[in-house]
Amino acid sequence: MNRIDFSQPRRQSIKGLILIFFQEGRSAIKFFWPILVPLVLSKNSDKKLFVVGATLAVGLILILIHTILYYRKFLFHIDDQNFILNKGYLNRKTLTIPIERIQNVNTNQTLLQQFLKVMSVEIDTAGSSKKELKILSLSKPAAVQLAMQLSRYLEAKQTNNPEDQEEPVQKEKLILQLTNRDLLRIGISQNHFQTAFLLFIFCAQFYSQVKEYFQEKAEKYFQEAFVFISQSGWAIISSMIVFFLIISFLYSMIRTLVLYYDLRFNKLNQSYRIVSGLLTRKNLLVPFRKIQQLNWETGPVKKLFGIYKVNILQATSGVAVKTPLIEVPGCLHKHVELLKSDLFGPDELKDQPVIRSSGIYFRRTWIYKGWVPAGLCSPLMILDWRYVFLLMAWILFMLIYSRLTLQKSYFQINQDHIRVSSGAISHKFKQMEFHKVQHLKFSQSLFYKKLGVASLEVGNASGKITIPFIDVKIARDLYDYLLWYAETSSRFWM
Amino acid sequence: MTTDFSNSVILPENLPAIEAAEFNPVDPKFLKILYINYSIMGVILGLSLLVFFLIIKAEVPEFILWISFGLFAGIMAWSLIIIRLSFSKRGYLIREKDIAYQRGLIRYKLTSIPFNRIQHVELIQTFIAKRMNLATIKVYTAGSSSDDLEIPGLPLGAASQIREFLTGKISPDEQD
Repeated sequence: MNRIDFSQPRRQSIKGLILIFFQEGRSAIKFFWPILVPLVLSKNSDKKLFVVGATLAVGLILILIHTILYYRKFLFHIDDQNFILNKGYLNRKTLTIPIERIQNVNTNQTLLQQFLKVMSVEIDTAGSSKKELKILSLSKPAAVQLAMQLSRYLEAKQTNNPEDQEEPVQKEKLILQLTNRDLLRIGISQNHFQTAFLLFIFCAQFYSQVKEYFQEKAEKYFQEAFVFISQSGWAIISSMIVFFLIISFLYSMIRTLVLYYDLRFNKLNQSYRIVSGLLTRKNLLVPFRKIQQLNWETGPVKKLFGIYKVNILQATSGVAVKTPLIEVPGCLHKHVELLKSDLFGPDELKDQPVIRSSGIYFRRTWIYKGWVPAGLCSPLMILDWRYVFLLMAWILFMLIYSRLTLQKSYFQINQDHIRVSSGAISHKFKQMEFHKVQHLKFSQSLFYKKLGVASLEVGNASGKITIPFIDVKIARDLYDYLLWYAETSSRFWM
Repeated sequence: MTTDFSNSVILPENLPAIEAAEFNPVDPKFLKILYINYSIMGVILGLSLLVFFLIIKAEVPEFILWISFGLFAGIMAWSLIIIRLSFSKRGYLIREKDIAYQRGLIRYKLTSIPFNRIQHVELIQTFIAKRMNLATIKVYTAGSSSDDLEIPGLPLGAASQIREFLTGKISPDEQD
């Protein structure tokens, strides 16, 4: 492969025109659709065809001009120290990224890009707050070389060992590959209730958005539906629940397939590489030092299959930007153990005593999630007294739920690690090292002061871990200890 | 059930306990800002409630309206008292190696950030605070949520001093 010279400013692949056109066209439609919909739906007349056609034509021409200008003014190159990106034709913008600041270089290929035989390259930095550093279309060799040239600095920085720089390509070791059978299991073990709820919210929102445009019709249908629901009552409610659950089951299956199809989890010297996806092949490189926290989770169905869902949390760049969440579902116990030993060394926490949340946590969960919602829904009993049973059932269910919550709320620590367990139906674990602590928060409600319990929040660069309702003495000691640790530790958090 | 904490961790001797430290109070003028913000919110809420009542007046028995309004007034008065009482709880602390802020009477919160984790520091002056010569210091860490550490109600001079001090503490490696 010829070495491509990136020291001169260059444009992306000419095929990028097509991609930019689609991207900008899509954002234009997203922005203007509230105007376009009434236009298309307005009463038919001779003029309508002309107006719609002209609007579309003008729009298309504008987007086309925009695309060409955007393409022409989008230039990037690498000088000694920096990756430099120039863009914008009305507002010129120069982004200069010191290469040592680059955290990650990810390549990505959507279906359209696969068809055009190009790839996009995304450069991730700490500190920059917008995801502006994306080159939409580079020929595959160019993309790979750019990623390699940028990552070479990255790996060199990581190891700080001149000999390692010479090592051309690292050996990748395949840890886990998901087969279609694995995907089926993962799909089945998803939380279908949660999906059903989200789906319901989505439908409700969609309904309220569309309603404005179809006001009259909608009202008529809605009234009919309302009459129908109030007449058939319980039967319709239960069948609706079943309906949403079936839909969400299908949705989970499809989502699992699209996101995790042929997932490959590879281990390099000092990083992981995860490739997955059906329509879009995602390719993420995660250096170990960037990982702040490891989460793993199992649930009743997952236990049956013996699988865990693992989340690898990376340092986020800037405020309000989420680095892609790295999710590896369908891990077996040995994979979780491997990850733990890669990231945290030998498991010393296993033998550490378990420190549990106070029983007050049970009481509070039951009141907040059981009695309060039931109390708020109590006026329903005026409509139909049989709601009493539903509310009672809810409170009873939450009694069990809160018991489980308390049972699973505990943590284990040693000198430099913490592992926090949580969950109710599912069982979640979070683990981090103390030198990655960024901030600490101690909180205590007046009501719990007398009872001597408090909550602790341990923040790291990827988020935070909450330890609810522990003994106040433990919380304070841990607070002082972690603060002291973060201040004196010589290890850098990243 | 609870296992003794000190069994599992070997604590260094005489670890500085933040609980024992004396926190600096915020400027008393800040209470005025809290009152002003609170009144603005109260007036807006009160007016919208009033409008809402005028709309539904015909359909709801009058006593319910009165009860709701009484409830609203009660809650507002209660929050006012809480603001006054919890004001003395507000305080910040700058130690050799970290900065902390505490607040809250009903729900007490204490936040600390070690200096070696600070990404950048911001000094903010809202419209009202500018008139009173007060300022807010915001300290950001990596991956921080917006409520990381915010010290409002500092005299402007002290606030800029703190900012200078903290900016100096950020290790050169971290600076942009």
